Amino acid sequence: MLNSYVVDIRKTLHAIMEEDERVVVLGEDILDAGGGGAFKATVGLSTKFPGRVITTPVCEYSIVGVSVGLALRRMRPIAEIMFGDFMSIGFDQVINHACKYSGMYNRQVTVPLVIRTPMGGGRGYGPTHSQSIEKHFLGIPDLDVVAPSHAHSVGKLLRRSVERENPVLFVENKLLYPAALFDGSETIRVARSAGTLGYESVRLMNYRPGERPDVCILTYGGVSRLMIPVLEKLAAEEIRVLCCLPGLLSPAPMADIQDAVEEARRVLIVEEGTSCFGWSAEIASRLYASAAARLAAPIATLSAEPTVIPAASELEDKVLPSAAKIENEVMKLLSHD
Amino acid sequence: MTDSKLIEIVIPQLGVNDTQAQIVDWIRPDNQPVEKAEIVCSIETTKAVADIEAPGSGYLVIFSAAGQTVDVGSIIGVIAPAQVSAMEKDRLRQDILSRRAAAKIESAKWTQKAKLLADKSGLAIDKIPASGDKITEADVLAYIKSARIERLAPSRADTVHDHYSKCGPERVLIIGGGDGAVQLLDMIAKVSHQVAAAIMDDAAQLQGKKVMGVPVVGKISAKHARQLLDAGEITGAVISISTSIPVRKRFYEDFSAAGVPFHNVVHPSAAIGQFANLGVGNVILAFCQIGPCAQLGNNNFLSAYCSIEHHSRLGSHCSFGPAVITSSSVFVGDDVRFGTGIYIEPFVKVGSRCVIASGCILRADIPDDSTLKLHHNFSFRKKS
Repeated sequence: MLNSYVVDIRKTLHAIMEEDERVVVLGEDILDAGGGGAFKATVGLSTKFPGRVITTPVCEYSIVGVSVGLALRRMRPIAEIMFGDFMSIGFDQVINHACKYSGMYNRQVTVPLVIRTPMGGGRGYGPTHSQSIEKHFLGIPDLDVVAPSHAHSVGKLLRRSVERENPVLFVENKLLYPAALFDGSETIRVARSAGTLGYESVRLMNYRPGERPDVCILTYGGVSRLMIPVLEKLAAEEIRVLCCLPGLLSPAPMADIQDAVEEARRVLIVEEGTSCFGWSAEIASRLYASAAARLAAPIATLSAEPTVIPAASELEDKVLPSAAKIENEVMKLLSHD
Repeated sequence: MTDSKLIEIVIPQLGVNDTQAQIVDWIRPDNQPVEKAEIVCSIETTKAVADIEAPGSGYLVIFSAAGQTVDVGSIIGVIAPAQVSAMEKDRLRQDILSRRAAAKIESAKWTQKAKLLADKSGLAIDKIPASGDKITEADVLAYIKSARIERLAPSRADTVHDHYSKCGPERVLIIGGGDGAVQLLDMIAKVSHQVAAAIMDDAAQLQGKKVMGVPVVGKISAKHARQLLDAGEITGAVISISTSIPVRKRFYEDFSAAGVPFHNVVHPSAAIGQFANLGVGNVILAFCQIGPCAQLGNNNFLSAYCSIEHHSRLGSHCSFGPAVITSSSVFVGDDVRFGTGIYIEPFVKVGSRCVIASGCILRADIPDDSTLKLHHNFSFRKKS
């Protein structure tokens, strides 16, 4: 039985703290006395490593700020921001501090900081606790943005993030926490490889080896939970899908996806964040520069509607990408002559 | 007892985050009469306990016992019109559960892939025979292949050429079924090294019809052409459309990307000089002259009486009206459109993407992207 997503993160945190004394964990309500974190990722840590698990006030600015200081002094802080929506409050510390020092001081210092935070809707948490705002962190020099899907070796990605000497934003997903990690089914093959910068890259395929995919879906993080039923369903319709789930979002992991795009020639990019100026736009523009002649149809994109995320689940479904919306986009792409 | 008289009792979605509920208790006993809206059981979710009402009147048949945890949306019992035995109850349960699964399977008579392929080939999906439970991609491909052979017979079936297609004449697919296709078919009919195998055209009224005896096999599709190529139905393609250079160019690129090669189609009356390089995908109509050592790019359309004189060089995707005469060593770029009756002096260079009006005489180089217009001064006099 495979770990669930959150259990894999928890076990990896335990292992990393065991192996490396420089690792400290900071965040709100993360002590066992406080429940081990809102999503239970840090359960058991404070009991096992007293003094190295620091509970903080509700102040994201200082959680990130203190972590930056620790990292500068050669510790390996892992900060937890309870809801990704509030990364906005830590944003200044990320862009003006964490990602600046190494360059400003000619690489004499590094900031090996990992910020873990969950994004994503689907739980009826409403406009300010359901967003996927990672797009605002993409393209910041010196920052790695990483997003594990439930088909990743999630712990491996977290380990790689902690190994890095530069700051890493580690985007988890609320709905994936209880999900069992996915390691393939009768219909779906999983291929994992060391991707760009050593962050694991995953491919899901609903067809046999040697067959050619009809369409390539590029996506990441929590959208993986929609991809399993979509791939199962489309396999029954003989529609062969190659789904790329790069672990790294930014810098753009083109080496992880380029050959898949050229093989399938029809591309759909899905992200849970709002449309416009996002990950899909950047990836599409790079693909138009590198593979335009190989594309059989214009690149399609699917993201959240440009509005607030409602709390009512029926309305939330309308705003966020869904399996049905993905299927529709695939059929449109395949109908394009 | 028929299923249609059964009314299902379904676990409702009570909270947004609930995926399951526990059955706390059945208020009404199994196999006893209940009235519509009577409370039959209570269930508990993460945050609340709720009552379930009977959705109709009849006899309550309980499938899931108290204490069981069940998924939201699952059927925990039915209201039956009469009492049921233990054996009947088991069958009822099986029937209802399998009916849900069957509803999904029965609705699909073909796969979406088969439907897409049929649509692109201009075929009605429900007319294609299925080899298994539903119509598959393989069924459609087999049908396209058999339909092609059927349509070829008897008028165009050639037991030698069709059987030994690899070493036989070139089997040309003509892209576009309009007036240009008629010119091409006329030329191919006059030569022995080529046969016209198929035509593709987007016009709905041409689907399933023939042009000069050659079948229109579907809409213009590089993918379909590739399938015909792989099946040995064609050996290459040529584009009959001469009026739009962007269209010619797009089809050429799409089909090339799909791995479909292009053939030249040359009228037997055309004079081709020694060491002339003819490229591929070129259409050369009657009485054209390609001088010795002249070089043609690909995918050009030369109407009748054109002359590309010796040592001239021509790019790709150009379209010539009738009687465009170059002198020696003329250079023409890509995507150039010529009208009718044009003369070009020796060593003149015509840049890419130019449009040259009928009747022009070119004496000096024309830069890229130029449009040449000619202003005639005609005066009409009526005969007295």
